[in-house]
Amino acid sequence: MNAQIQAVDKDEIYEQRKREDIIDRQLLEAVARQRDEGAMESLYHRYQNRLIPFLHRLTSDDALIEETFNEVMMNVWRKAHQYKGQSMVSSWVFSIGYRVCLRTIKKAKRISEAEHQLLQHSDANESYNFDPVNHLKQALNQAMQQLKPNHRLVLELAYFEGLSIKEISVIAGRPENTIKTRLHHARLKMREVYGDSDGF
Amino acid sequence: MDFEASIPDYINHHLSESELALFEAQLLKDPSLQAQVELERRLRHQMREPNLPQTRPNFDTFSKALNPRPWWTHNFAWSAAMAIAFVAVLGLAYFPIQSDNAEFRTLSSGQAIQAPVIRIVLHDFSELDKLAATYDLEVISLYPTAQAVDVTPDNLSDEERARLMQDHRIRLLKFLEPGTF
Repeated sequence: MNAQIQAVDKDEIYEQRKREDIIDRQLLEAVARQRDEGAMESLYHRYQNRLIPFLHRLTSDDALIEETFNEVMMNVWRKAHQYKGQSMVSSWVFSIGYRVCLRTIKKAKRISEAEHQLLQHSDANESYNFDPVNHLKQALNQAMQQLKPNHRLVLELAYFEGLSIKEISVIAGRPENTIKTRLHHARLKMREVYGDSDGF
Repeated sequence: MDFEASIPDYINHHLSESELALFEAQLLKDPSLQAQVELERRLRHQMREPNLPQTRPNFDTFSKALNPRPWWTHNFAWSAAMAIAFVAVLGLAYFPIQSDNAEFRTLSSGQAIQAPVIRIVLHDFSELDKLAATYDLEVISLYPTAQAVDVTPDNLSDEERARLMQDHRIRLLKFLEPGTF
């Protein structure tokens, strides 16, 4: 019964993604062949809904999010003719985003460390109200930030974008086994934190 | 099949039918795998952020960068503007703008009249009308501050010409060559 539900869900998701990909391909082709800015605008808005939440999980810095998103979309504009059609357009866009995001994570980490140092002094005198739910979220968030950037991205793509290991391997340009290993280590780390905090 | 590594694909509905059947079968008999799947689901649920207001980058701003003008076109435009300005300044230096406005006309201002012209300086400028009527002179230019006037004689006879040269109302008289003043 459970397997049947899973199969139905899977078919629906697959059909939905296929429809999305057909639209993406048409838009990307118009960008590549005609340098159509209208098509680019459509792609820009379509991927805003997918990439911005992804970027928001990497950093809370709005300026950095906008900069990263625009850099990804600028690469899409410039490299549209390089898309060979072997993978889904979304995988191709995410593969561009993957490389840009690796840099973003490093940049965000530097900003976060600087902010943390600044806040340490002001927080020292403030009373601390313990909130178990937020504490767990914070702990998981911190654990995410401590992961290696390429481990973190793989986890983000699997957990929040719902991509398959095969798709992530295309995006990251690494064999599936490498992705499985990265995912394994990342999940292990998160489980450790979750296990430690679960008692609260 | 590596069941542990397949958990993300199972939760994300990416297993093929045969893989799914295998996984489900294992899941039924393996409490450890069940616990891992459950833990994975709870973990994802915990990490999911509520819908927060998110940054919305603006396409209009972005679109300006889609087809930027190459740097040399900026320089070219700047250089062209500078060259035009330079030529204009140089041109004005050699060929100043000439005005027909009498307010700015001076005795040294050149005029383009191809007719005999007499420049007369009067003792009393108010006598000009009478003088012009006497000799049938047509006034071309007035220089009130200098009490002077340029006139062109209309068929001035030699006799009239001689009288004009000795007219007591005139302080100074000079015949100017046509086109030279």
